[in-house]
Amino acid sequence: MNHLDNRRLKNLFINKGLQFKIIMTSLVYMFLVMVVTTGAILYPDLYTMFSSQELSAQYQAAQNFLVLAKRIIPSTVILFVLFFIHQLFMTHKICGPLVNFTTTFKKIGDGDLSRRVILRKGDYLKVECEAINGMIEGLSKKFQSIADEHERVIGVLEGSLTVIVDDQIKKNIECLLEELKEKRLDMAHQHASDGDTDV
Amino acid sequence: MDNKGVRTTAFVRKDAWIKKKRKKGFQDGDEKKGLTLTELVLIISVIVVFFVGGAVFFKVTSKSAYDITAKHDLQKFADFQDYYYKLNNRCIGEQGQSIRNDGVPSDLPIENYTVSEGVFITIIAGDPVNPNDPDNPYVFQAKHEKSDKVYEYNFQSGKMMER
Repeated sequence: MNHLDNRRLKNLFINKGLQFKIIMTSLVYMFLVMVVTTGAILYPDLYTMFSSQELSAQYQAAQNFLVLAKRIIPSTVILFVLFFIHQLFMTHKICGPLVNFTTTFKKIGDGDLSRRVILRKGDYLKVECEAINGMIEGLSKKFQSIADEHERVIGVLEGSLTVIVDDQIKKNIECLLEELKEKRLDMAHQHASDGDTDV
Repeated sequence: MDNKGVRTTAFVRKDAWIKKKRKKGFQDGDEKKGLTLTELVLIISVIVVFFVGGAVFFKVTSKSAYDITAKHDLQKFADFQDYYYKLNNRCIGEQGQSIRNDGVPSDLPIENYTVSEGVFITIIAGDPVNPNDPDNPYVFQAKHEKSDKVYEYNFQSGKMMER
């Protein structure tokens, strides 16, 4: 599992669809927030600039506006870029575990209960991860007890073969035993496959 | 029968949603793409429109601010000339001279007086000794380096106009 922390730049878009959706929506909201904030800051000066009859008042407002504009434009762009980068990393920390969850669910669907979800340092959804691992652990135990029960039934049936005299019943039990042993092989096969736990 | 936890409606809606998507030509794998092309174009358009709108707004408003600055400095310069004329019976500076704060050296240095950043005022006509001559009035112009508008002040009429 030494490749778990192998986080490269190209992996930042680990789940493009979801990440892109979250980032774009957040950016639009961020933009609206910036527009409203900038508008609220600049409105008094703009109002004075365009509606005052006094040149000195207009001049003061114009100077204020120029100073604010000089600072607001670059800070807005920087904020926007920083917000984008933050969103990229944040969604990566959510989508990374989600990808892991999805792979794990698929493995569980295939009957592989050996896989566990392992999160990287800094990943979100730790509680959910623990719940899923607990669920797999529980399922695994149940599965094991079923397998044990299965073994016991096979043992009982094999034991009964020695005492049963009726050929028809014997034949039926043998068929049943064959089926049960096949199932046992399947279960053993699924248990033996060690799942990967990569992200 | 206990029907708790069975959300039949949700499944019906999901089916309807899948059918709707299939109708539009989506495949199962496309769900991973998240945003449709239309949504993507819409979002990018909104951001671009906001950015372009913001840029245009700031450009236009900044130009107005520069014009106000030039106008204000011209008015101040006119007031200063008027004061100087009343004290010395002549105006300061000669035709062609300018006082500036746009990086170019000023050839009309006045102590304790400067114009705003980017503004330059040039005396374009008139005699400083006789600034109120109706045939050759004392006239100066102001302009901000980042604006195209030129403001002109006629000392004889005391009026400012846009050129």
